[in-house]
Amino acid sequence: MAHHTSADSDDAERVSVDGVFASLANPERRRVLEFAIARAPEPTSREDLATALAAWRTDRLRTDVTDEAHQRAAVSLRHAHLPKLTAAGLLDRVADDAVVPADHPAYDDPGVREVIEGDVAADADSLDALFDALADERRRTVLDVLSHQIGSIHTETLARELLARERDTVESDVPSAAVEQCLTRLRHTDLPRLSTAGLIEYDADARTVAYEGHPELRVPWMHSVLHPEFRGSLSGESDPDGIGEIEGRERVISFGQSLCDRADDELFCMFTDTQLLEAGCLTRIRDASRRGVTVYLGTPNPAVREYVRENAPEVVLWEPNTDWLNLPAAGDRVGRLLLADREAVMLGTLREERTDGYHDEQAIVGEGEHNTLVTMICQLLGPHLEEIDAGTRNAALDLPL
Amino acid sequence: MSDSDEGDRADTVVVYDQGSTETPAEAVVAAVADVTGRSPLDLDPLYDAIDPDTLNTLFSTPAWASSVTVTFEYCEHRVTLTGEEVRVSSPGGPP
Repeated sequence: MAHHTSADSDDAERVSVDGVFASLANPERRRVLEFAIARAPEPTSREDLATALAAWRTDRLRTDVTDEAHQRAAVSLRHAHLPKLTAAGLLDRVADDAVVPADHPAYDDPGVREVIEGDVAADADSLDALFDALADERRRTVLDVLSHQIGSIHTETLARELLARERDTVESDVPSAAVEQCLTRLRHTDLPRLSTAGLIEYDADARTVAYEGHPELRVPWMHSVLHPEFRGSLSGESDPDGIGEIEGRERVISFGQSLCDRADDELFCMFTDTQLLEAGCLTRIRDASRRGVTVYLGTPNPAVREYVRENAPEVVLWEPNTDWLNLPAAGDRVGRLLLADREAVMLGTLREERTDGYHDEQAIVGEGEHNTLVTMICQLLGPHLEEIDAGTRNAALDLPL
Repeated sequence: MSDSDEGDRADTVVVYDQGSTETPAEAVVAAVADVTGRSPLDLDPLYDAIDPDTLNTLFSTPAWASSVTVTFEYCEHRVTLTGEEVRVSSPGGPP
């Protein structure tokens, strides 16, 4: 299905993302979408949808559905599911009493497709809570902010960061009345909901909050974006063989997180500085290893190694030599390297220290098996990966790059 | 679900059957279908009046259901929903 090419305003786009997630926060609607997609491009009649939904509800063959179960499914479709799905722009009504999947970017999002097609490990309740929590832009931004931190932060710090982003200003310029109002909403609405969904760890008494994540949560969703060209939108890179550039710590982190999501077989990562492993990255590395990806992680931070040993013991840990990779890239030193499936790579360099104590960062990225940067990094790392595999687990390793 | 008329008031009250799997939203549709004498499938979508998910959420958590009352207009009737019952006021009846 093609993308929307209309000049939707930002507001319309946000509302539609809310509607998509609210639509997905219900197991019956996920099945209705699955039935409609299976039939597409042919329309599906309400009758057939009711039969399919009743069969799914009662765990019977479609030919064995009782009249009563069919009637109840038809009522649910008419009064709840179909109006909600058409209002979200996911289904179009055609002819009399039939629907067809709409031309909506959600269907191009691999994470959304997997959830609709039931191709996920998470149970239905957990998915309902995830999408219910995601159906609000403020909550999506809370997740993005928290996923860039390691450990827990005070809720007031979170409120200031949220408001600074919304107003495009610095945290010290946010008026305290606005912080109060934001804290109230966080305390009574957003944080309990995110906590119920297991997406954050929230201590209401201590007023601290930390990122927890969810196996099905995709990085673009936290940015209120659905389409799969998310990484291209960060790097501005559209040529598949080219090398893109990413400016700024926040964008570098988001790109790195999405590479962790992308890996199917192997993920190689290295962080030369203890500051660089944020919670979002760490949980994504953990999730990748849990879904069977072979993960190699190099870090000089003993606390991170301890965390990984406890939470993802199958990750292959090693300690990078601190002098590794002194590329003369404008005098900056390399901070992080991520290589997913030997097909997509990000090489981040550290720049001057910011007022908040973090280094600013930039990165070069490449994607595709025959991409120049990917080829170069693979050739440099290949022999060392075998060396790590061969039994130097947890050992220091010099990479003569 | 059982119907009961309350004296001379023009309301129809439907009491939830605690043992049934009927959701609050389904109970509203069934009650209004009863009062209007129309099929549930001919009534306007409930979603046009109120989000059925929201109703179901409000009344699926016992701690909330015991203290929440929701009133809204649907199919030219006034519908009042509590944790125990659906009350449908006929047009022109008491507010």
